[in-house]
Amino acid sequence: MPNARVLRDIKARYGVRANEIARRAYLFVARNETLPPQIRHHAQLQLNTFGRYTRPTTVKNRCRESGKGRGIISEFGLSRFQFRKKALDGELPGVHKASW
Amino acid sequence: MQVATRSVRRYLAASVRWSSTNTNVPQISQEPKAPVRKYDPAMLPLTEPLDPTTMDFTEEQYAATLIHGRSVHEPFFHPRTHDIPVANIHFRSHHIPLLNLFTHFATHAAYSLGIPISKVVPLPTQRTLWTVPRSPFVHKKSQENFERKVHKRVIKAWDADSEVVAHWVAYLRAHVLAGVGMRVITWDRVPLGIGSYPNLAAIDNGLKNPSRNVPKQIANLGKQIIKDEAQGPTPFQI
Repeated sequence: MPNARVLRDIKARYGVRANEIARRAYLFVARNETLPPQIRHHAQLQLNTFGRYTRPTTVKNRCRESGKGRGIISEFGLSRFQFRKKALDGELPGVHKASW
Repeated sequence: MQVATRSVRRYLAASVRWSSTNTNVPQISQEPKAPVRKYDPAMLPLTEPLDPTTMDFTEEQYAATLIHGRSVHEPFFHPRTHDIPVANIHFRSHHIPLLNLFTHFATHAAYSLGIPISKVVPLPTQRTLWTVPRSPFVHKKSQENFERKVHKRVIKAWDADSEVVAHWVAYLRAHVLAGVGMRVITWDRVPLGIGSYPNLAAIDNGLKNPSRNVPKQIANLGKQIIKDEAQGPTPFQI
């Protein structure tokens, strides 16, 4: 069972995906300086009604093995320690120890 | 012809034998067989092709007699005739021996299909380095280095017909080697006036990634929102 932070991230990814177009349309209105202030203000109020898990900044890359949120090597989606473990086990194609 | 008649006769003899005796023991046919010569490497080099009806040999042995041991050597590179580029094939792998083997295979295939190709050109190796702490937590002083190398080769092809090139690519794809990636770039000649081809726009739209429509959807919804807001607040429904 993944931990709460991983579940929260999954929820955010689903939420962002479902609300992306509507959110960005309201942003388009709210930040359009050629429109009357009242319309822009209403759009901003609408934006505030979206939940926190619809914001794209809520999405965070996490380690897909351990769920860790820091030190992610994004190419493999793994945290640094899981990356080292897998690389030493030879599970990452072509990755091996180096020295220079 | 002679082979066909022989097999028919053998079939008739067997059927007669099964009807006359009811035992399950198969009996050896007493018919005289045509003399079968064995394949003998001492016969090389051959002056005329081997005849499979009178000789006993495998397909590999047969292939080896055509030009003895040709597969271990570099192939013949057909000379270019018009210098028109038709294809570039990139190969990439983490392992050089695999890359050498597969490019060797690809050059021989191109030779057999009569495609003028370049020699196997090495491209710069892509090297990615990572340095990570050995421990899962703190102890930054003790770290470990990892690397991944991607070796690349390219073969260029000229002057061949696009159908021949397609056959070459299909042959390489059919015998693809695990651990070797392949990227094929081909250039096709098309008739003049292809831009007015009726379905071209539809094909072009079909190839487009659907996510490219997202900005358009956002703009449309935004315009709708502006329109709705400009009409003023909706009255309460009682």
